[in-house]
Amino acid sequence: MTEAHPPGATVAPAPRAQRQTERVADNRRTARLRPETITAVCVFGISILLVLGSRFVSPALGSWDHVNTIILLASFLIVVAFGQGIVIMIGGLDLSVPALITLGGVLTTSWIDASSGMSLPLIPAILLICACIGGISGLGVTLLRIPPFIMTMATGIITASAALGLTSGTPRGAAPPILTALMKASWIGIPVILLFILAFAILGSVLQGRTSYGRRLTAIGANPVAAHVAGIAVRSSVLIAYMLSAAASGFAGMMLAGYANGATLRMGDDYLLPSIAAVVIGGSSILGGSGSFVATIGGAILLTALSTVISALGIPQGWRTVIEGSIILIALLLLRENTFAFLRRRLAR
Amino acid sequence: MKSSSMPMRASAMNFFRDHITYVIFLAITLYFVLFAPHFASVSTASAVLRITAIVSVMAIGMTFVIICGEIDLSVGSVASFSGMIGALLLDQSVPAYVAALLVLGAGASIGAVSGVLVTKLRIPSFLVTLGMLSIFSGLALTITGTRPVSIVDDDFSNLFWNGSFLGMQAPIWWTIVLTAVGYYLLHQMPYGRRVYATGGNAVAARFSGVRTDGVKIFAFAISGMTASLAGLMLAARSTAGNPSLGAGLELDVIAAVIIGGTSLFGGYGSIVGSVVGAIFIGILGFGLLVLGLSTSIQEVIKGAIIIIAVSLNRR
Repeated sequence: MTEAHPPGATVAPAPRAQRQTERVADNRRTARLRPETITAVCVFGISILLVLGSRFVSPALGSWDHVNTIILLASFLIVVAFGQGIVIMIGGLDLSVPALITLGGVLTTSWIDASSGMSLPLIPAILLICACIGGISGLGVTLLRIPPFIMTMATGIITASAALGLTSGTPRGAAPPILTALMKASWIGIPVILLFILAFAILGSVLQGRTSYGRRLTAIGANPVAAHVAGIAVRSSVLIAYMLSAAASGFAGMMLAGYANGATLRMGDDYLLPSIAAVVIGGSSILGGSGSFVATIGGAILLTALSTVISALGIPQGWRTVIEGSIILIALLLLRENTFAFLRRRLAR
Repeated sequence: MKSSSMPMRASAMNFFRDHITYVIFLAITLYFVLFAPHFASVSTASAVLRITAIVSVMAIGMTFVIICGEIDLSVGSVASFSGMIGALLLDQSVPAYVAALLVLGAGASIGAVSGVLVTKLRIPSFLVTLGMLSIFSGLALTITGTRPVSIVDDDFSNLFWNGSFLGMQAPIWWTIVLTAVGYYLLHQMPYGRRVYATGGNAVAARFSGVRTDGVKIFAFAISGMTASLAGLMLAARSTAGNPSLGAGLELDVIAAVIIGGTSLFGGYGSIVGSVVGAIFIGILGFGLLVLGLSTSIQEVIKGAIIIIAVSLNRR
């Protein structure tokens, strides 16, 4: 294989002039729309329609307050889905998300006392611990070549029982003021969490779309062998992806602890399926190699908006689980390549 | 002399490597027999077999799916759902045998639906069954609004848990019967060969005239059916249909199948191995309990064993 494609020939970018002519030659209106853009617009559009339509459900919904609540509740999911999205991008799956959210929350409340000023150095330390657990998953996936969902399931069990053992069943303590401020304070009338999520969205999409690391992830997800041949350090990139995902989950746990001013051992349980669903609704290929963080954020907001409407309708909690599972399956069915081909044909008409 | 001893040594090494999980299993059992008080007794053995019956039954079905190169994460929630449906049917005074058959049919259909989604629509199986997991755990909760449904039917309890026949309790009989049926189906029937062919190399199997989609759908149906049988057994054990009966069981089941030497990548595996794996997990849990270790340490060890077993069983 390497003889057929001498190194350099495969990795060398096409000359600028040639790319220019390609762009000029293919100037149909829809050819410029990437599938990611279409999904992002669709998902945000549906979310807005849902929020506006929810006025018919209850007069309390559909207001600016409702939008604020949705963003506050979606913020946890957005942070978790960032990590899940990176792992799905490289063709993996992170099932240890609930355990790491719990660990992040439990460590925050039990190590950082609400009154002491030690919170600033301890927060990165806790994130580092979470990242190390993600690193163990990454090592299992890369070195031992264990399928990602089995490996992360196993590290998930270990982490969850470690959290159980650490707290001996009853997590204590309260969240440090800096985290409660992040979730509840507002700055010149704008909630801090809204600003934080905006910054997180920009940073996350820059990391995924504009940095060399993000492009390496896309390359690995599209074809790991080709990525290796092209000189990408596949193993370390994959390892870092699992570490980032674990740290993101841990941070979501801290945010949850700040929001509820305390931690429980089951606080992460409700985030596994939504995190995968948000990524899938955002149009990322579940097999890896394509996706955008902005569309994933849209997916997270759509799911959260839906669940606020469901709880306003008084539908029991069990149905939420049913609906989430169905959404994953339906989204997987709808968001396949041929659906995009169909959409493009429609838009071109 | 060297030339004759080398193949011997190599084959001994091969045997050791292929059966490494059994070696570890024997070593750990021996440790418990020597160091755990009152561990080596008939009553312990029958208690362990009864406890592991549920995981064994599910592992037999899961073996078919995993040898096909797929995975079924929904077995735990299908078991909860089946237990609920069974309890509700009995509550409507449906005869025990009819209720059991209806529930088994429902389980098989749930599995078949997963199979169709995986094969015809080409969605990865861990996602389909993860979706199914959430759908059926949600349905099991909502069907009665999270209330458990008690079972008063003696026929049902005797059939699935409390009864005994020839001095052995019902759950042990179920394990034996299902192991025999599973063994016959996987190792003696043409269907079993097709399962191995599908998991070993799906493209080659398809070119040899095996309808791989049908084989996989049937494997998922078997897994769904064994999951619902396990759900009935769980319901009979606690004499109630409880929406969270089977929660988290999929982990034990997958661990049992992998410890039993079945390759997670498809194409290799055996029914007896999966049952041995399930019994191993039971012995481990029981032994750690007898030694006085907390459940959180047990879970850590279980997780570590899954990782070790998968990385050792590489072919």
